[in-house]
Amino acid sequence: MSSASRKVGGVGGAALALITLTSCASLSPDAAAASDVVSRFSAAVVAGDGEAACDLLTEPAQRSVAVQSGTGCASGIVSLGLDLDDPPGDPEAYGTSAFVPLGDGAAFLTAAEDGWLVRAIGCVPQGEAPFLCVVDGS
Amino acid sequence: MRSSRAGFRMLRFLRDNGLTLFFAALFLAALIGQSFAGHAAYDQTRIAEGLTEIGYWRYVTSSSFATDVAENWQSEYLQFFLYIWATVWLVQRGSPESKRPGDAGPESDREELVGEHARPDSPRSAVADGLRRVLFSHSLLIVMGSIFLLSWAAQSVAGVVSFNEQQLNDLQEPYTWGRYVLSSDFWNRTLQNWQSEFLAVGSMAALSIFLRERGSTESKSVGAPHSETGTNT
Repeated sequence: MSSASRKVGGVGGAALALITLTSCASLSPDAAAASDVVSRFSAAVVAGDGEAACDLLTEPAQRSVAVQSGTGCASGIVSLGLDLDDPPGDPEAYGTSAFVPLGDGAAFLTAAEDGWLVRAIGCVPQGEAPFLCVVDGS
Repeated sequence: MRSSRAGFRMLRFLRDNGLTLFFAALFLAALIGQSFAGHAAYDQTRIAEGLTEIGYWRYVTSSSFATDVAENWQSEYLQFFLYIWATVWLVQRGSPESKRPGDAGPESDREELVGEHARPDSPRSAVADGLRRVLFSHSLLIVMGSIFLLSWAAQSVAGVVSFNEQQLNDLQEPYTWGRYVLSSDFWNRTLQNWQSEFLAVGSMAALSIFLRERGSTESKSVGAPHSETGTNT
């Protein structure tokens, strides 16, 4: 094999390795951090601290709460009757999205500049259809 | 004096490797173009879904970009893998790239210049006995097949991440890798690439019987009869 062929083969191998590494790196954004955000959100709601809870929601989710409750997000989020008794299950994160099981339901999160934010919570499965969520910022 | 010799060497290198360098440059230009177009399309989708845009570097290291690249790579390497293998065993009368009818098969050692029939300038692996010669005799197929399998595996790994990211954006449950490789998304991405490659290779084999490109090694001579087979073999 000539040195030119070796170089071409080396570049191809490196490119393929890069794709594989990228794939694997994308597999493991910080899922535990997403679970932690859900725990903090639940604790804030249970404690009646609506402002702290709303700080952990995306802007569309905050607007959704405000529209639903007919009040602001901070007062509305604690009066929606979210069932947050179950602790978060095994979280999964893919790229810029995360999924955190909560009992029979789940929470969906999205990556923001400074960490995860809750996009939808109080979600229950609907078979093959999308989850139905009490707070839905999608 | 020394600089003119270096310049001469560079020109000779460019002339001797023009085909590889031309396609390497096209590849890089197309890949960079794909990264910018893909980033713009990705952000448009995110905005439509009420999500924030992501930066260029985050996109080019994302599973979405990796899937789009790998799914095309695997199909290209599969195409060449199959073409190399099929031209050992199948013929196409009139094709410049086919062996003549009746010549199908791995050929004799004399025709393949191996063992005692090797020339003084043959690669040493063609002279060697045993496994080394066997591996070298199939090295092109082995490498092309390996790159195909690795690219396809990379597509499946990056693909499940990209697919699950979209599932979550749509408030749907993520898939396991095993479920994903049986899913319609994986096979749709795979087969839409395969069908185009198979069409292109089949068309090339058939069209090169009747059509010509003067000066190309992929074509028969302009005046060669349509029935002439194996001009390039």
